Amino acid sequence: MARARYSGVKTPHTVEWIVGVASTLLVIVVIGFVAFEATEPNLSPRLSIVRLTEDAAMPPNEVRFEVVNSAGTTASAVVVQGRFEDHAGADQTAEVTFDYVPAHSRARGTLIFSEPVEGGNVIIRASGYVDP
Amino acid sequence: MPALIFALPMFMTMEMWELGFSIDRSRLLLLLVVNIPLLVLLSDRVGFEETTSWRDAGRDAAIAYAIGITSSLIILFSVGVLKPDQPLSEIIGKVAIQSVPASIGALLGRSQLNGDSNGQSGDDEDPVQANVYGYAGEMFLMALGALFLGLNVAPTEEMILLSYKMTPFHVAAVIIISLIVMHGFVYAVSFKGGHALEDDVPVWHAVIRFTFPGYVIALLVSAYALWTFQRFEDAAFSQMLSTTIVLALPCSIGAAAARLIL
Repeated sequence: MARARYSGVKTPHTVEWIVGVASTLLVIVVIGFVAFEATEPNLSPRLSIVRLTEDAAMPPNEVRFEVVNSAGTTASAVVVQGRFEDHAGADQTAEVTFDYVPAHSRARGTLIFSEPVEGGNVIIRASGYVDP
Repeated sequence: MPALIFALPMFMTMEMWELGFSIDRSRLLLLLVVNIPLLVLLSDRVGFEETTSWRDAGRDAAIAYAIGITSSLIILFSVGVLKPDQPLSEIIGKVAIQSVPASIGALLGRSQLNGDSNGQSGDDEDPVQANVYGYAGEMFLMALGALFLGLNVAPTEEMILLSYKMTPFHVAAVIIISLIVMHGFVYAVSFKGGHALEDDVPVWHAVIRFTFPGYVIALLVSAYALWTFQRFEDAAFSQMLSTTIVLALPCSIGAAAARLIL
């Protein structure tokens, strides 16, 4: 390519310095943040479930929830199981798998049962995960 | 077709096919719209032929976009990713998302395979103006190179998987390597097209004025690509940052390569 290459001149324009210094500061902040994270102890994932009741239009047999990982490492292949006793006394179960629940993050999912839940006592728990 | 040489890896990436129907339509629209000024600027600086006006650049950009769309259609139908019985929304989504790298590839491919025919514009402007345009031009080229290499891997699962497996020490190492590669590629290693600093410009000048801004550009391009391909969903800030830094490694190599090659 016959493009005259701009390699910088001895007396560069102020814009170059402003951009350069701002970029240097940003890179230092990023490295500093990562270094701060390195001081966090390396715990296994800590998973907890929060049931969500946001959508009134949801079918009665679906339960929406959130998996929260409060530790600094990611959990992979997280299996979440839900169980409740329906009006006939039978046990209804459903299961869903999350590919990843990242560190300090939350992931949303829905359990679909074959009977309407209708305020029944649904027990939702994470039953296992894998290190990514 | 030259568009294929550069964009073929993305045609063969399953996450790109899935994104065709799952991507949030407003993000796809933003990507398609942002591509237009990108192509116009690119065709003005590097394009098919020496363009003497913005209208010519616009025309070449439109042609490149059309080549991108057409080649996407042909390739995706040929390999069976697109089928006639799929809903129109899915077909258009898959073609649209592939047309962006394919259109950039069309412009870059023609310019590389044609050899040099581009004159240098702006020589008669006063030196201060030329310096600012030259600097902005370098930044634009770095963004372009970062986008091109970054788009190839941004939609893949391996990007987030790497960030999940890496500890903060790994992340710090990736930052250092990205910076060293960016600087070394262009300045220290004597490739043809490398930039030699004039003798009394100290090394740290180049680091502050080009390498660090180049890395920041790589980070921004990486974050934009990840956001567009919905890799940030509901993740904590530290996770988003890790993934951005991981993707910034190929982006920064692309940025450095663009300064060498273009």
